[in-house]
Amino acid sequence: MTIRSRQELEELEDAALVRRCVEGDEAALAALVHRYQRLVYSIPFRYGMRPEVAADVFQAVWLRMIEKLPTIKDPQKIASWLITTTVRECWRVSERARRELPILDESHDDDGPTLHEVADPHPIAEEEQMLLELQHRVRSAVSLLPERCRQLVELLFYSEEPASYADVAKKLGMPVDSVGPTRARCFEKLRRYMGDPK
Amino acid sequence: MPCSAFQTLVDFVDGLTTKEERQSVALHLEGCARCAATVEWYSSVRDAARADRSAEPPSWVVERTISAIADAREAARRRGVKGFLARIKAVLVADSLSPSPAYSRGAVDARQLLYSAQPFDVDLLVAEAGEPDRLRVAGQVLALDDDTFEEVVQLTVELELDGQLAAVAETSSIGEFEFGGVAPGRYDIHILGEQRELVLADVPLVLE
Repeated sequence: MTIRSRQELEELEDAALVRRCVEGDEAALAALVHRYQRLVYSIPFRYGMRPEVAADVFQAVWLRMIEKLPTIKDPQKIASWLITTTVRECWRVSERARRELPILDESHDDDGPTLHEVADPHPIAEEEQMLLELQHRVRSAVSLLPERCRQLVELLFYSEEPASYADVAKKLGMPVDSVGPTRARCFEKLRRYMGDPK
Repeated sequence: MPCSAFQTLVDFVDGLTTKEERQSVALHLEGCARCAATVEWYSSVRDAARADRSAEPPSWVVERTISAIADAREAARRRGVKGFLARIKAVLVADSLSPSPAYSRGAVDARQLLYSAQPFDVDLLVAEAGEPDRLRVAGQVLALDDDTFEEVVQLTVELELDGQLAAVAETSSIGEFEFGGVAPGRYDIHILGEQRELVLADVPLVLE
């Protein structure tokens, strides 16, 4: 299949996108990075790492991915592979800091923990891994919703405090009475986009 | 009892139904797997989304990575390899001649260099070769997160001077390699495996 645009690549399923990556398609790999950039970048922060370290972990994970691409057995489970690899990279970075840079102890300040303080000796729990994957799937599906639905779901799901119907009505310029039915229609769409059977 | 409307089920999870509706939906759910699945789906999605504290990476982080990937593709193309060749640029982390002490006597018998190309380290020892104006360069590639030597065996090590290939060696069963009769100079060293290239740029193979 000839892929003509970035949008077409973005619409490919993981397995098809990974196959194109294995063939050496740079645009496909860029699309894969964009698809999972938020997921990969967020994991170092769960371990309390600083932004500059998270940036290095991010790059290392994708370079690791390039090396391992031809050997990834189930491309459809790429999210799971990325989570595991990112967690391992976080341990590796903090272990290395512990071994080689004891001076970091003295550089501790109020900005955050030192690298070696954040190492978690335990593998990521299956439950946590499933939660990360679900969060990624929800985010991806929300991004596909029509603009108005997307705004509504973001207000209800991703605000610091979940918005009330009155807040949603005010922000989206709609009658309060129509928020409930609109919200239900948006969630039905979201469920379809997530590939969940009705 | 007929199935509840999707909106009613969502309202039920969010606690927006009246007491009567709530009792009626709860009773219905006990015998309706389809509606129970909808309630389960919405609850899990809502809770996961509300617990999501993820953030997009800054654009420079993504651009830097995409650029590294393009670099890997180019490296593969140049080597005639299909796909990508992860190119890891090494950083000099230790040099026995640096910082040069004020009382340095200039030329020395040997020089040790340590490069980090995560997840690998490369140790280099530069020493006199027993003939005028020639050096012996011995090295070892170490995989930091692998207790075996599996990842560092039979790698191709290339010495490049001014873009020209000067010498080639292969790592041993423990990742060691050696070059004899090397003319002093600043070299690029490429260490190549099947899916990876470590690049040590501008390596000072000199003893002063």
